[in-house]
Amino acid sequence: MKVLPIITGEAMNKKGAIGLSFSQVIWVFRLIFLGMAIMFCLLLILMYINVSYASEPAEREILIQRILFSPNGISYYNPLTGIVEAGTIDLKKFEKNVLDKAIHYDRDYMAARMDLNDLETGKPYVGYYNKDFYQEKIVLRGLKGSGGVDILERNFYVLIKDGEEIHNGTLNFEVVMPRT
Amino acid sequence: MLKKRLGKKGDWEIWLIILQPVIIMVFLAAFGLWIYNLSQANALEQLYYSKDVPLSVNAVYAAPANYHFTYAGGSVGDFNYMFGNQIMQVGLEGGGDKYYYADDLFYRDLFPGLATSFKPRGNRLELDSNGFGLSASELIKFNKKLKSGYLNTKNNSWTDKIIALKGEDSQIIQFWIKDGLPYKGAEAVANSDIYLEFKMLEGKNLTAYIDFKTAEKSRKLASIIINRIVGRNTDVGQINIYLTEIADIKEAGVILEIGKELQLLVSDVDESFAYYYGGSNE
Repeated sequence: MKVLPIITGEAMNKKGAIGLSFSQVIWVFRLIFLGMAIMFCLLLILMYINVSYASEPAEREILIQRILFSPNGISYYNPLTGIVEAGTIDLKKFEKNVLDKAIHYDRDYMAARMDLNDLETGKPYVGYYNKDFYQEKIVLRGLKGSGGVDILERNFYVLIKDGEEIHNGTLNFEVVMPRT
Repeated sequence: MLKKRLGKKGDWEIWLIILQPVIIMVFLAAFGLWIYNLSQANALEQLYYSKDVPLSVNAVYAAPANYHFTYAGGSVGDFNYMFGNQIMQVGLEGGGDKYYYADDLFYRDLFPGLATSFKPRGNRLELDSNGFGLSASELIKFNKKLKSGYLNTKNNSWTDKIIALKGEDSQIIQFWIKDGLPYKGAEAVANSDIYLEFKMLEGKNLTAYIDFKTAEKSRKLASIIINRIVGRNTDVGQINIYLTEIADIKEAGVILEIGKELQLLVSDVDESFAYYYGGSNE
C-alpha cells in the first residue's frame, strides 16, 4: 500500500496514526464528486417542480381593490341604488376608519396607509387600515430578508365627497405586508 | 474471485465500488417516493387551492355589489373545504393546508362571516356575495340578503322614539315607546318616528314600500327586517323595494308585503329595531 506523501512526517511516524493511501484519497474525491453529481441532478429536477405558490403580491393588490370597491370600503355607497360609486371617496367613511371591521383577518396580516389630498382646498387627510400594525411594521421598510416587509404603493385620482360637495383629489396607498 | 476478494480482510475498495450504485439508488428511491407522494395525495393541488380559494374569497368580497362566483374545474371536488374564523382549510379528510382570508364584519349581526364546511359536488365551489356578506357552498344558492349601507342610525337612547306598527287588518297593533311607556292613539301614527306596516299576500315574495322623504333610513330598516325574514326562510321568492310616500313620518317608514308562505316572528321585528338603533354600524 502506497503511503500518501502529504501525510508523511511526524504524524505518520507515530504509532496508531492514520494514513491514507493514494487510492483511498482518490475514492474520497470520487465519493464527493458522486454526491455533487447527485445533488446537481436533484437540483435540475427540482427546478421543474414547484411546491409553493406566492399569492402575497395578489393579496396586496386585492386589499387595495377591496378598500376602493367594496360597499364597506371608503368609496361612497348609495343606499338607494345599492351601488358603490367607485372612485368617489366618502370623507365621512374615510375619517371614521371603517376598514378595520370591514376587512377583518383573525390576526395582524396586512396594513395600509392612505393619503387623501384635496386638490381644490389643499387639505390633506390620512387614513389607516390596521393602524397599529402599520406603525409597527413600516419601520422595517428597506430591510432585506425574511424579517422585512413588502410594500405596495398605488396612486389614484379620485373625487372626494364632503357632505354634498364634490372635490377633485388624489389618493395614495401604501400597503405593508411582512414577509413572514 | 469476487467472493474471495470480498472476504479478504481490509479490502475496502470492492465495498466502495458497490457503495456507489447503492448511494445513487437510495437517493433516487427517496426522491421518487417524495414525488410519488406529491402526485398520489394531490398535495400540489391541495396547496394550490389552499391559497387560491381564500384569494378568490377576498376578491369576491371586493365586488361593489351582488356577485356570484363559481370556482370550477381541476380537482376542486376532491377536497373538503372548511371556512371559519377567517381561515380556510382544505384537505382530503380533515386537516390539510390552510390559509387566511378577511371577512367583512362591519354588519356582524347580519353577516357574521363565513363559517361552513363541505365537499363540493359536481367539481364546483360557489361563492355568493351581496356586497357585505358572503356565503360559500357546494351548490348554487343565491344570497338574497339586502344591502343596507353605511348609515349611522345608532342611538342608545331610542326609548324616546315612537314606533308605530300596523297589522294586516289596518289596526294599529302596538306602539312603542314614549318615555318608556307603550301607548295607543290614532294621532300617534302621524307623529311617529318610525312607521312599519305589514300586509300579507299569497306566495313567497317580499315587497317593501319605503318612504321617499326618508329613503335612506327607510331602506336600511326595510333591509334589516327583510334580511331577518330571508335568514329564517330557506325559499324566498322575489324581493323588491319601491319608493312611496308615507305621510308625516320623522325618521323611517316601511310598508312590507309578505308572502303567506314565509315565516316572520315578532322577535325578528324586535331584533331588527334593536339592530337599527344599536347595531354594529359604527
